[in-house]
Amino acid sequence: MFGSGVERPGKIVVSQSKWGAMTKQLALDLHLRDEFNFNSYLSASNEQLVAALSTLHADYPLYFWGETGSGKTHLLHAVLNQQVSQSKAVALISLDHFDRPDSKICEGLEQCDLVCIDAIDAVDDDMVWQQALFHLLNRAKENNTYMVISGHGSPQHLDVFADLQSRLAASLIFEQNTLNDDEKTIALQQRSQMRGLSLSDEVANYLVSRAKRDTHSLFGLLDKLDKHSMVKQRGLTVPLVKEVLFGFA
Amino acid sequence: MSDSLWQRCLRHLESELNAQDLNTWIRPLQPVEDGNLLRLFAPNHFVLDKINELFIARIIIIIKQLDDNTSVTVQVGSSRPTPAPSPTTSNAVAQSNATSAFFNRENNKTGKGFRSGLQPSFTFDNYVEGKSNQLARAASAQVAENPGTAYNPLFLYGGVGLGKTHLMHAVGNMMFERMDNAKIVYLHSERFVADMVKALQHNTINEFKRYYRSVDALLIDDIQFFAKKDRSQEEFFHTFNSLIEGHQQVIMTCDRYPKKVDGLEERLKSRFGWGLTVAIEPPELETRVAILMSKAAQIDIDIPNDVAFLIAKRFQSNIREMEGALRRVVANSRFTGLPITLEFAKDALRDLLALQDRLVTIDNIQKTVAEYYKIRVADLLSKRRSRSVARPRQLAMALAKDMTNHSLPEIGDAFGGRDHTTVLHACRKIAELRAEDNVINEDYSNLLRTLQT
Repeated sequence: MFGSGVERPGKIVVSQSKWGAMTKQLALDLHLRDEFNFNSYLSASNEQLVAALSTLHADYPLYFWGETGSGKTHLLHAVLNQQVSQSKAVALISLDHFDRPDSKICEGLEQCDLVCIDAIDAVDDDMVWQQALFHLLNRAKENNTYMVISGHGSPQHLDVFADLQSRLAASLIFEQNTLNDDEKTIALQQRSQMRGLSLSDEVANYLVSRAKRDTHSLFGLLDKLDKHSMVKQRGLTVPLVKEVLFGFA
Repeated sequence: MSDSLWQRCLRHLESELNAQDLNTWIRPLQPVEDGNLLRLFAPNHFVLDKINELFIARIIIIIKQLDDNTSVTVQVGSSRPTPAPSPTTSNAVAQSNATSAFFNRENNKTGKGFRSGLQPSFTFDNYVEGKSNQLARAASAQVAENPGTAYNPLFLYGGVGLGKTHLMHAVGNMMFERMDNAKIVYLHSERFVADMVKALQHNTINEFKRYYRSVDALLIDDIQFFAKKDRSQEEFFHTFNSLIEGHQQVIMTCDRYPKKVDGLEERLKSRFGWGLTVAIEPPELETRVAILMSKAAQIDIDIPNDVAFLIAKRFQSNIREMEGALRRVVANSRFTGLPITLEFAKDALRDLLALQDRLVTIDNIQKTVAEYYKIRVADLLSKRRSRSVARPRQLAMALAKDMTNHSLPEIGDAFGGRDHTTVLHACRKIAELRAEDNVINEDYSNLLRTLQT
């Protein structure tokens, strides 16, 4: 048997529970993953990126970059889910994951309909992986396989060998803009709604103006608030947020 | 349409597994329902082993629950149909290289010619010629007209994204059209290695040898990836010899001069030089503009001159970078429905241009030059005047003048408080040296390109 984890939006939480021994809480969280689609993504400033992701081309990869918390994971899962709903075989390789697989996983991966590579900059010191990706890109092109790649910087800024870099530079490239504060407020409320929580404007604004404002931190905080409110059997109010943020109301 | 058995099984797994496992191991599987058998194809042995180790037991249970009669097997392979062999007509579509020529050879047993792996869209007609590539183009045209005799092997080398592969395909396509029953195989060196390993595993190495020795032209891309792969080099060596002796054409590309490829056997390096070795240099501005126009025309897009100039000026390091920029402009125009004008292009390329602007600083130039010549930045700023330091310093100053908007006094200041006349002298000296000394000229171009990427 193997340890089963759940993915909360924005971060991976590995739970200790074994397969078959899922708690109700886990089942609820897992449901959230299905909500990673293009509709649930606030795309006001990223409309073109979202449009490009929903109409991929096999002739060239789509590359997008953004800072941590700009929503790369959300978009990658959205594009994967879209293809899966059309019965396509897909793969996502997260290169910055603590459990990065061996580069042998790239062999034959072009047989999938879509291959997503997350955090390509994580292999800047790994020549074996870089070469594997280079060859995968070549084969994907020959095989009409969609490729979507994300990173923290533009292809021009990647510290990878020239052949790989130039192929990435030939992609359709977008910078993913981070959400502005208003959008973050909406994102928080949307995320709360998915969990069956109600987050008032007042509390949402309070969070965005007082807490660390990248979406990873905000969604992480929402997790904490969720648990805290469950333990305390209280609704999400400003005093409750203060308790979690500062330890007192 | 109702969901397939595998899709229903997937939904169960989606609620049981974390996203990482799901997307790495499960979702890449391709199902084929074959009566009472559900065959799952894994892309490779690595995934297959993982499935067998961790997931297969659960998959079998779920499938059994969904349909008691169906059994499950997992194997390496693909449900995607093998592409049909290329017809021999001149407008033939390229055969996919997904399964390579050798492993697809049954398809090629039509008794007629075939071309494998060739992109029909890469022709001489749409290859833009400029000063930087005219020699390579002329040599390639010669080879296409007199294969096996003009220059054999033809060895094309140059930096990434400068058009080596295009030229190679153009030769292959032209040969295919001019020769009756021509058998032309293009493949990336990695594919040759992978095929050979597979042939060894399947005990088909003799057929592998026969196959590659029977073609009229063998086009191998990016030969530098043979480095340190001794067994593949050995095999290629014999294939190469046999082809050359049989007057069958060999064309290779490489990112550098053959003698400079580390990890390549000497006997291979020397043989690669038997025919003609020709370099492709980075194209100059006018050629880059013409290339862009041609790329745009190929996708039926009309771009104004000033937009082509903007892209060609700002994305200099290789053609792929320009293609990326063009793609973005076209995508934005399609999305907004607006025509492509200079202002529109600047706006569309804002992300990419902004990055370039902030990239080139004097600091950056000093660091890059020091790294290139394996000296310290401190040496560049020091008072030392030995040739090994003074020349790189002058080069760095010239680059700073050409690539930044700093004034000469500012540049002098940044180089250990030197006078602006020193900078001026350096710039003139480098301009002079570049005209008469090829090594300096190459160093300058290399540094320029490094700094622009």
